[in-house]
Amino acid sequence: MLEIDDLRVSFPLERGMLYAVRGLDLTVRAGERLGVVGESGSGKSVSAAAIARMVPAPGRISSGHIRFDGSDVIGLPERDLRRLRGGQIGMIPQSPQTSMNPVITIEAHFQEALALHLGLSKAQSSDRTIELLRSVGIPDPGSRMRGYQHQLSGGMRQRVMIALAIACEPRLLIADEPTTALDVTIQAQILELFDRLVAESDLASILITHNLGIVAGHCDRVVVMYAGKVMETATVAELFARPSHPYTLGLLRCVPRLTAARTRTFATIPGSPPRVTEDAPGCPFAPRCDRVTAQCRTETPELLRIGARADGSGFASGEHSVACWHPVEFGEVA
Amino acid sequence: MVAYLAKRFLTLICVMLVMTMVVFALMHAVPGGPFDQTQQPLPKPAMENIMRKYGLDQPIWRQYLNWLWAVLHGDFGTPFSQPTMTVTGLIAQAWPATLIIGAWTIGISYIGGVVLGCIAALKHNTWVDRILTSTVSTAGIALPNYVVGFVLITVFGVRLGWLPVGGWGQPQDVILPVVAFSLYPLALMARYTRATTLEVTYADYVRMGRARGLSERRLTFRYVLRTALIPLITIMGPNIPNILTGSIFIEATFAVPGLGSYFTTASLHRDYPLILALVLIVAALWGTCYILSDVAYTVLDPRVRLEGLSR
Repeated sequence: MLEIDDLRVSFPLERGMLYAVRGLDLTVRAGERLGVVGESGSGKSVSAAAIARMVPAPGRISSGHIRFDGSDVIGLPERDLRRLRGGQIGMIPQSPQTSMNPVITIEAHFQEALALHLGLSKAQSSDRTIELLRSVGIPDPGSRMRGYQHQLSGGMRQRVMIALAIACEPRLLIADEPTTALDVTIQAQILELFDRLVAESDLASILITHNLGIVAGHCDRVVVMYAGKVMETATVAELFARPSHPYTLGLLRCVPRLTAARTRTFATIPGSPPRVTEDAPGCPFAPRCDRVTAQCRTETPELLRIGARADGSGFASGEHSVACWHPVEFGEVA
Repeated sequence: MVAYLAKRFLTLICVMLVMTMVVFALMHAVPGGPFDQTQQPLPKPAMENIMRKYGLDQPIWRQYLNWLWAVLHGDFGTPFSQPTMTVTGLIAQAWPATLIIGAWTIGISYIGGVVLGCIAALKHNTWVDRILTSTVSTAGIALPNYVVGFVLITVFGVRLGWLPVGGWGQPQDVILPVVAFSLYPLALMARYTRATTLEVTYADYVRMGRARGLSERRLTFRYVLRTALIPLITIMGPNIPNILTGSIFIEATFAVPGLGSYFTTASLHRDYPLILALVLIVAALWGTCYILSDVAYTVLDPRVRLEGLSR
């Protein structure tokens, strides 16, 4: 349903360029739940914004193709683009606290979107708003919708944002770190709600997060991003069972476990992600990688499909690709 | 709302009462009096006569009560500097010119400033923005209005001869003073409008509105400007009394017989009744504008509520 091919997004700086996304390939099938994982600055949010051509200025899509339901998003005129945004693609924000217009009522948000995409009248949209708010668990929706965002708690605001995202029956839901700004107890509720709605309406979804734990419970397939590139992609079960990229392995080791032996420190990956200002060859993870060789620094590894191995340690479930010269072999790490 | 307003206006009256007391005390504490004559002193009996006539021979608290009693009956006394008139008559004669200039100034600078500020913000970082921000609004704030006034007089009055260099009475007399007086508030409004609008342009909720497919036009008016212009009340309200009471510089430059000059001359002449009347005007205007600003906030911003009042 969504196909992204060699997408590049860059931001002009005072001097030079910041390459936020460097050749992203990605597909989402109808009804599929994709997780995009990476540290801050890995390009995951910019990639998500690019899908609806919402890269914040002065950044721009410098090359690549985005196809949504067969139509080319990059070449879409403004009018059709607006029909796509909200109508076909729903977005859930990172910070629900600041994502609603503070001076118009909650109902007004729904009304303008419903009128725009579904052509609903005022009375129709009122009924639909009540129904939507009820479905995301807002108590007393009839009177709540006449209020303003400042009268709601953070968790409630995110519920409203979710209702707003699905209001016009989109086919793809993009959630950019939807729980980062919320309390831990609320996080679980919001993700549960997200899952239920995605399942009920057979939506495809992209869940962007830096938390592999969230991916494990709420996605079918994962894309691991680093420095604007895809490092590894596999089904969730596959990725957790046989992480192949040293970066993925590092991320997995960073997830704290209740069952692990008590330690004084959390596992970390030394260093921090780079700010890519020159699109030089070489693996972007090389400076932080413990398996680095001379080849990693000079040649860029391509994202290649991992097939069955000669020793029979094949990959049973679906596709699994990795961009690494020295991938972690199955069984190498306990 | 009515109860709230009643309470606010009652407080304002108390503030005005206290202000008149303070000003009364200060006026009399300053050395010198209205009838001090250094060059040709009057004979003592004549002086005593004058003092008695204006009640200046009585204790200060008595003078104050006398003044207050008269004011409550609508009598603001006689200006010492123009004994043939009443204070009320003098203000009624001088204020209209100032009010006409002030009203035009408010209209032009507030509307023009907001429009220019919005344009600058919406064309952020283009040449339009740069010219508006760096040239127009910086010059408007940096140049004193009498300098602008003299330039206008030289160009449009003397060189081109299009407009009168000064005076009052014909409709075209209003133009140059208003232009000179408008420049500063216009620049101020433009700067604030640009800043608040820019801040909102990149707000999350505008981005989310765009993600729902709303048109840029709708986003600009309903999401950006609707919220960005609310804080301008804070600048607009309190500037109104300043403008409506006139500027001595503008009125002197363009020979406008307005109220502005009396604020200075009344104190210089120790013209007690006139000083007090002017203080009352300023206090009433300030207080009213603040109350109106607060009310405007509650009407325009659902997040703001009047104290002890539920919607």
